[in-house]
Amino acid sequence: MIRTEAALPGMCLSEAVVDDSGRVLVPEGAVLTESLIQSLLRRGVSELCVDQATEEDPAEREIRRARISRSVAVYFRQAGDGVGSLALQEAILTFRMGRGE
Amino acid sequence: MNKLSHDEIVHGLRQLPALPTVISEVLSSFGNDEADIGLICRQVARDQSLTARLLRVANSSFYGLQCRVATINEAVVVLGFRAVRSMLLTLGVSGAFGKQDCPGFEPRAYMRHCVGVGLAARAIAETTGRNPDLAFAGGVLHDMGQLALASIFRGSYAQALAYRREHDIPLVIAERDVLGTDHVLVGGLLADTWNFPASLRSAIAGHHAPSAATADSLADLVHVADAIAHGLGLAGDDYDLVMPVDFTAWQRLGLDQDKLARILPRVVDGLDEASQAFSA
Repeated sequence: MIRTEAALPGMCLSEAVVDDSGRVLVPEGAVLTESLIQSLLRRGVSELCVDQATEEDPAEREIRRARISRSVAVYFRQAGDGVGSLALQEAILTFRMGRGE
Repeated sequence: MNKLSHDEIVHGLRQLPALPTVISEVLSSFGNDEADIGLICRQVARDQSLTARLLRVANSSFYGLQCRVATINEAVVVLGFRAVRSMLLTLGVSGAFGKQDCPGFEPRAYMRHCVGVGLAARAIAETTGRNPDLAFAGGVLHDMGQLALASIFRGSYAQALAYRREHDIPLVIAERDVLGTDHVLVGGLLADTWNFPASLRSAIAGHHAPSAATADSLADLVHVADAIAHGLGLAGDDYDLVMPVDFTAWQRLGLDQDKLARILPRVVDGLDEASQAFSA
């Protein structure tokens, strides 16, 4: 499950998007496009289930990871290399990657 | 640099307004299983401002109630006395300092950080089988020494804040260099002045050195919650930084990546609503 704002074109839905009455808006297996993401956001769909394996181009993912990693590292610049500091930094990096921010 | 003497600090703390009677009653109920809940509810009900703020928090998504509560008695029935007590203490203490105008001290950033620590402490408590309501109150109040310093020693504290920015060092170090004391020590003295229960005192006075506290205290929990809030940059402060996470505290809480993955979304997702609800 990811936030709709964090969805990227090319991701594949692992569950259908349904409205409040259970009507299917987008079927399972559909590949997201930018316009589809925008229309889901307009309808107030806040979260999507996507197939993790097809989420993102690996190279783009690495670039994104490096950017978020630098941003997290700024907050941890004086946290040292103790087990708690490192584990927390890793958890926050993973969390922010998942949120796409 | 104007170092503050112990006497100056104690004298300064005495100048702060006394806590409202009802908050003192709430505090004394922590060590008293026979506390008169009805009396506390009646006293709260007479304070319209406190009641309004309490109901605003109780009806916010922070508690996720299915139906609205309209009175303090309903809040106690639906949420339980422990939850209402923590809420009252958090609201009552935050309201005791009045408006802050210390240069460099940002009340909004302060509140967002503290509420973030409260949410993180609550989530850790639930994950590790502690009392989540007490953890939340300890988290929100853990930095109240900063509020006291900014209120009482406005000029000196402004110098400490500027020094911290200039040298890119943790706030607690800047306070010690400039003032000869820090918000942890002052918070502990204030907790004594206001007769805080030992559990909350340890959250305030022990959060930067939790290994010195006992394993069942809130110090471990608030220490790690503080690191989470700084690591997420919740205050929106460019100078924010995480201090080294204490090994003993980390080991005692037994957190791992799976547990942190459940804790972090709860902190971030609850922050806006909770900060708004708990702001005066």
